[in-house]
Amino acid sequence: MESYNEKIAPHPEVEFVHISLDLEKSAAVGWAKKAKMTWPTILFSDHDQEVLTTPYFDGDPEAPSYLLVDATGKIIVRDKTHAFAKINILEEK
Amino acid sequence: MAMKRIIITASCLLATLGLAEVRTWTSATDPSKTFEAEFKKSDGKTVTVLRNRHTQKFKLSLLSKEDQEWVKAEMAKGDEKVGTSGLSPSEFAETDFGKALKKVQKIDGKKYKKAGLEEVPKFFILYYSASW
Repeated sequence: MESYNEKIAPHPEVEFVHISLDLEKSAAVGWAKKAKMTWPTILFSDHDQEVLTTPYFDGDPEAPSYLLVDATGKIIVRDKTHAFAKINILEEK
Repeated sequence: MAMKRIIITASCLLATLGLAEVRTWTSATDPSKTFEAEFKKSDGKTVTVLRNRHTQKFKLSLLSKEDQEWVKAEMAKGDEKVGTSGLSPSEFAETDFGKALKKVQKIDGKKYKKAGLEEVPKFFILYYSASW
């Protein structure tokens, strides 16, 4: 949450999208409320697997997984460290 | 050779200017009554079109429901912000990735509610996770 508030929310070039892997909507809602999530989320029932999972993972994605993609969905970097490092570089420009 | 260059230049110029869309409009009361015209603008109550090189303004309610919705959609496009991706939300929504992200929601009190992207950024961090 801290990383999101500090790095992503104010950044005009990046949006953070949570792809929920909770099968039960109630579990996703409960977690979002508890963690005070402010970011956009795609609930599991709304996943387009062909676009949001199949191109990026062999099988089901592990939780948590982070991907930095461009506006066409093309992958730039994988994992949290690399994704946030790339955001830092963008910030410095 | 010079003529060919002029034709190509003219074609490029027309493409750049973007020929406005001439569409068929239908009457609200009689679907058999139609006319061809280019949409110019609307304030939500009236619509202005270019028909046979003449500007005409009339009440939006005189047009079919489909036409009224089309006009509203065109007006909404004008209000959109182009994000750092160079795409407006409606352009983004036409892409496969945009369609997949169309159902984003945000927690609002006790429920998730629809929350479309106001601007389309250059990059997205996709965060796959669950409560467990």
